Formats: sequence, C-alpha cells, structure tokens
Amino acid sequence: MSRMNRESMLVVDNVTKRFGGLRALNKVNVEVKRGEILGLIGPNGSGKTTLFNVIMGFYHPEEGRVLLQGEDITDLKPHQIARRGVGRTFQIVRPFGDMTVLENILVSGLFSVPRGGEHRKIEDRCHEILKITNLTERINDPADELSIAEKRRLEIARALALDPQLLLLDETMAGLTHAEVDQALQMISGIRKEFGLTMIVVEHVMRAIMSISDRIVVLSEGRKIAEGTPKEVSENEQVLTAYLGHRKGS
Amino acid sequence: MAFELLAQTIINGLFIGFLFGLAGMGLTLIFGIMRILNFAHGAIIMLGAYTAFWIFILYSINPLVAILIGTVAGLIFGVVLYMILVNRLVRAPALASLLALFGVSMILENSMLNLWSPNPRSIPVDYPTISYGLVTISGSRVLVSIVAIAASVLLLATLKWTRFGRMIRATVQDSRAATLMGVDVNKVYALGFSIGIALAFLAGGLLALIYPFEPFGGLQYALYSFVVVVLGTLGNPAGCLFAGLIIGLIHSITGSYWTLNMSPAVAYLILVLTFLLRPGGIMAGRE
Amino acid sequence: MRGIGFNSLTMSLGFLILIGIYGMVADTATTSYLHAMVELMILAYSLNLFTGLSGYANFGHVVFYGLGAYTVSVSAVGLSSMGMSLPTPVYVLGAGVFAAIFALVIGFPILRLRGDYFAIATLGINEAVRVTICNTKELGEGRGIYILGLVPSYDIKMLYIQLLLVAFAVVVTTHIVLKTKLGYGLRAIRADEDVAEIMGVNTSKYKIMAYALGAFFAGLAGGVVTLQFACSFPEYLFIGRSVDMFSAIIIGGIGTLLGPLIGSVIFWIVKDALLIQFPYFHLIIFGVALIVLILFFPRGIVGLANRVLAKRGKVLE
Repeated sequence: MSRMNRESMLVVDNVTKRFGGLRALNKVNVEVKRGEILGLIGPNGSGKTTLFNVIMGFYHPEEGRVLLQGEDITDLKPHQIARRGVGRTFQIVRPFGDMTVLENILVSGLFSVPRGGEHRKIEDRCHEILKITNLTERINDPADELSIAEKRRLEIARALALDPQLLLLDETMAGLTHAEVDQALQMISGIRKEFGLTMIVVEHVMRAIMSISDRIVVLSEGRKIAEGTPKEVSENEQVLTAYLGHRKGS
Repeated sequence: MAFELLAQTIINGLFIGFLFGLAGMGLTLIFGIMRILNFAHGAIIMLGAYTAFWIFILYSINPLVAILIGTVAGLIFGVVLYMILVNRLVRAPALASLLALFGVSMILENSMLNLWSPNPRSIPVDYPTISYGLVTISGSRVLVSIVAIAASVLLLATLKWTRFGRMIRATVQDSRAATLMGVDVNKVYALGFSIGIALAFLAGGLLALIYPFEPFGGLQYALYSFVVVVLGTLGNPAGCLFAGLIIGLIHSITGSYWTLNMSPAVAYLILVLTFLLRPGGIMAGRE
Repeated sequence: MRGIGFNSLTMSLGFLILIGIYGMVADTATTSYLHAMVELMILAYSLNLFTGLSGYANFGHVVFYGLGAYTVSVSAVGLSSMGMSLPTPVYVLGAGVFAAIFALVIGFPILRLRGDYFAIATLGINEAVRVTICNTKELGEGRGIYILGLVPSYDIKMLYIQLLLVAFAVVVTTHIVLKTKLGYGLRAIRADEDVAEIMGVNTSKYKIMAYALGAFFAGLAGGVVTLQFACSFPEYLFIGRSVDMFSAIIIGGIGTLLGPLIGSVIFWIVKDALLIQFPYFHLIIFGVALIVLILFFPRGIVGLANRVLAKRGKVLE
C-alpha cells in the first residue's frame, strides 16, 4: 500500500474483528504518524478497546493487518509486540498488586531490553521514569497501597519503562478531578517532549482529548465514522449524532 | 456372546453415566455461579454416602427415603459451609480458594476415617435384577438412574422456568450485571452452593446403593466429576448429563474390554485431550 | 534492599549447614528424622519455584517425585540385567532430568490452561500416571520395584549428605531465580498474566521453565528416596503428599526464599508432635490450620515478619 511510507509509526489496514456474529471492528483503517498524538473517541462499545487489543496482539483479526514501522505484526504475540516498542495502559488499572512500585516498573524494564541488559542501568532508568511520573516517594510501597491517581501514573510509568516508540493510553483520566486532569495533561505533554513518543489516546474527558490530540479518529459500532483535527471532528454532523444518539439510548 | 457383552457394557455404562452426570452437575452449578472449583467435591460425595448409609442403618427405613433425607441434610451442610468459609472465598484468588477447599477435603476425609473406620461400606439392599437373554440389568442400577434423571430434570427445569432459576442464570452470565438488575447475589451464591452440595450428597447416597465406599474413596469420583464438567463445558449443567453418559460408557467399555482399574486413567486421558483440542473454548479469557 | 536479600540466603544456607553437622554427629534415628525433614524441604522448594512464584496451583506435583523414584528403580533393574551399574549421583541426576523432560512434554499443553482448569489437569495427570503404574506389570503394579543389592548401598549419613547437597542447590537456585528476569516475570504472571504479557514477558516460556525446574528438583528428591529405601512404590504418587508441601510453603510464606525452609521445619516439628499426641486427628487439625492460614495470613511467617521489619526499613525474602 502506498500509505505505508516511512513516516507511519502504525498502520491499521482494513481490520475486521468478529465475536460470533458481532463485528467489533469493521474494515477499520487508522494511520498514526511518527511523533503525533492520535485521539481515539467513540461511544461505549464502539470498538476502541478491541482496536487496542488487536494492535497489542491479544486478538487476531479475521481480515486486514497491523503494521508497526512497516513490519507486519498482526500475528505476533503480545510480548513480542511489547518488545518491538508498543506500550499500553489499562482503563481499569491493573498494577502487580503485591510487588513494590519499583518492582512493577522493573518488570517492563528488564523485559524490554535484549538479553544481557545490565541490571544497574535498567534500574537507573526506572528511577528516572519514577521521577517524571512523580512516584519517587512511593518507590518501595506495594502497588496495592497507592491512590487511584498514583496507580494511573504507575500504569504510565510501567509502559514507559518498556522504552516504547508507541504508547497506547486507555482512559488515563477517567474519574480524576479537574486539577488532576490538568496535571495528567501536563505529564503527557512532558513525556512527549522528553521521549519523542507517538501516542494513541482513548479518552472520555472531551476537554482533555481536544487539547492534546493532533488528530482524532472517531469509531462507532466498529466503524470509523470520522477523522480529522479536533476542530473538524467536533463540528462533524455524524459524530454528533453518534454521540447524542448513543446518550439517548443508554 | 460378543454382542451380549457389548450390549451389557453399553447398558451398564449408560446407567452409571447418569450418576456421573449428576455428580458433575453439583460441581458445575457451583462453578458457574461463583467461579469456585469445589475441590472438596469428592469428600462431600463420600459424606453423602455415609449420611444415607447411617440414616438407613439407624432407622431402618427405605433406602430411597434415607437418601432423600440425606440430600436435605446436604442442603443444610452446604448452607453452613457457605456461611463459615465459602463466602470468604468468592473474591479470593483461585489458588487461595483451591487450597482452602483442599483443607475442607482433608478435614472431612479424616473425620470420616475417625468416625467410621477405613472399612468399605455399602447400603445392603437387593433389588431384583431384570434379565433379557444373557443381558442382565441390576435393579439397583435402574433405580439409581431413574432418581438421577429425575433430579437432573428437576434441576434443569428449576433453572429454566422459576424466578430463582432465572436469578441463577443471570448470575452465571454476569454477576455484576445481575446485581444491577436487583438480584441478591449473595443469596444466589448461598443457595446455589448449597444446592450443589445437596446434589453431591444425593450422588453419594445413590452411589452407596451400587458401589462400596470408604473415607478416601472420593478422589476418584471427584476426578470423574471434573472430567464430566470439563467435557460438558464448565458452568453448564445440561452439558453435564451428556458428558456423564460419555464418561459412563468409557468407564464401562474400559472395564469390559481392558481392566476396570485402568478406567480412571482413560478418563483422565480424555480430559487432557479435551484440554488439548478445545483450548479456545475452555481457556479463561478475560476482557 | 539487596543486602538483606543476601542475608536471607545466608540464613537459609547457614541453617542447612547447622542441621547437616548435627545430623552427622547425632544418632541414626535423629539423622533419619532430619533426613525426612530435608526431603520435605526440597519438595516444598520445588513446589515453590513453580506454584509459589507463578500462582498456578499444581496439585499433581508429586508426579515428578514419583517419576524420579521410578527412573532410578527402573534404570537400576534394567542396567543390572545387562550386568551394569552406575555411580549413585548419576541415578539421582537421571531422576531429575527425566522428571524435567516429562514436565516439558506435559507442560506444553496444560500450561495453556488457567487457574482451576490447570489444577484439574495436574490432578488428572498425576492420577493417570499413578493408575498406569499400578496396572503395569513391568513397573511392579501395586507392589513397587525393589532394587536392594542392585545399587551400591549407603548408610543414612551418606544419603543425608547427598540430600543436603540437593537442598543447597534448590535454595541457591531459588535465590537466583528471585533475583533475575525469571523471578520477576513469574511474579508478574502471578499478579496478572495478561498485563505481564503486555510488559514484554514471554509468559508461556517462563511458565514452562519454572515448571520444569520445579520438576527437576522434585525428581532429584524422588531419586534419593529410592536409593534410601532401595525401592519405589506407587504410594510416592499419592496426592495426599501434596498436603505437606502446600502446608509448608503456606506456613512459611509462598513465593519467598526463606518461606519453604521455615515452613518445612515448623510443619515437620508440629506434625511429629501432633502425630504422637493425636495420632488420628492430626490431619484434621492441619486442615483447619491450612484454612485459617490462607484466610488470615496468606503471606505466611515471612509476610508477618516483614510487616514488623518494614518499620525498620528491612525486608526478608
């Protein structure tokens, strides 16, 4: 395909994923350019999480492929995709509860590097990441004991320790207070500057997604219904109906 | 002769199969509702056998009545076990609940050993046998099958048509959604667990009519039940009956054409093969 | 924190040396007592390597112990029929290697199963192997295989030393596993397998590595026991034996370095005392204790100790 140029970090090419008779994703095409933040929005059940799971290799699509920097990763396993530089956070936080904050991060640090990586060096980098995500004070606490905002930051820190090129953020801000959302936004742009990361961000907090995304893709019932800058998308008729229609329904 | 042996084998297999199916149903009901694998299932089946045995011996009443009283006792035992222990296991990690129920198994088996000695027992009744040519059918097996079928049908009908059954099915599907729909999930857990235990008592009582039993004899039946529920898809009572028949047939065919001692090994081999061939269907996929 | 982890290793190895010396100077009865305790310790550590770290309930762990035992007896009988014999350490190593190979073969299918399904499958395999042995003429059926005179016989003190070497090896292996990628990967799997996979952990590979490693040490223990009693019985594969191992790692602290050691010693002493006091009730008491521990002290003695030590900024492993 001609769209597969060097500037693409990730290409989701005509992907269809079915569960029984239901098409969770229906011929979805998404391209993420190197260095950009792509916002992914859509009503509940529109296929956002399914798309993340397809990219991560948890689900294998019936049709279509996923390309990471030109390489076909459709049939790889999640850990292989992770080691190729894709990090992900979870909407419902899932820290390794009985491990300390540092150990949580060490896991992805240790496994991201090829064989023979030096333990010391990895640990140093983990300390660096803890500083950026503002978790240094809790370094030796069990992850279970963190507050919800801290657990969300731990999710991000853990993904960062993978040394990713592409970061998938799944509703990092749900349930946070207004001030906490601001902090999170600051942290995300800080991360972008520091690591030069490409990101796909799923978010229900509209204020947040509109302010950090370069471009936005809208999914509804497994289909892509719109794509464009935040401004274009927010004025799109189809998007408004999809959202409002859904709100009425639920 | 060869035909008679085959016919006899198949008939025996089907009759015992209903009992295996019944034993599996209790296990699968509990798993479906609470996502807990009752590791004490075998010991509880044995306890059911002893309960029916002692009611029969002490009050010298009709063995079927003794088994039914035993089943009610099982229901009560289930409620007590739920209140003391099992309610704490619902949200515990799988390893913890498996080990705790393993502990229950130890307590029950060794209590039975201390109370009633390691000697095998059985309910000594002779029902007339039915003969047809060289094929004979023992009356007790027929009786056991009829009771097992009746109990299975009763359970399936309850699940399908009563309000309580709908509550159970909703919980099996999605306990969180069931809570939102106004189902008292704790009550469903307690009752569902107790019914599962009552079914195990019933299976144990019926078993005592055809086979001898002893305190540590439960492991074999627990393993058969595991095989039955896995074959019939965990959490699906109707599938159990069908799987029970298959395992009954295998049990009986191995016994007739090889040696009865190898029958458990063959059953476990089938278990492992099921795991191998249907990993997608039986893997606990999340999200 | 590292330094204290090292202390846990020193403490474990130091303890083994102490009971080693004591066992050498004590009378034979005491040595036998310690021998049985160390055997339990090895089994507890081998179970801990897999179940303790990965959280996968393996109720069929004794199958590896039993297979190790039968490897020694079968190969001793086979070799002697050809007029050959091997040095005992070779038999023991062979037992471990065979158990590990068996683990690799069955691990491939059953490690794809999670939680309860895995537990069922391990039970099934254990029973299938046991029933097969009981019904195979060549394997001595229910009577077992006797190898008296076919292998060089040692007195209990020599065997005790061999067993202690295995114990040393399993403690050091556990320490290394805990400090390296394997340990981190397994603990991540125990906490959340899907997330571990997303953090780059090749979960299938790490699970099977730990499974085979645990099997190896259980096989070694089975090998030494066969040499000790000069026979192997189907009873070695009796599921009830798992009770002791599980109790030991739960008492001590599951997934830790010191836990299996502390747990085995306490379990063994208490079991011995209970056995004398209440010969018929001790297993009932253990059942109750197991449940109470799981519900109220899921992290065992090491976990309790760490709660106290944490205030001083120290931690045991």
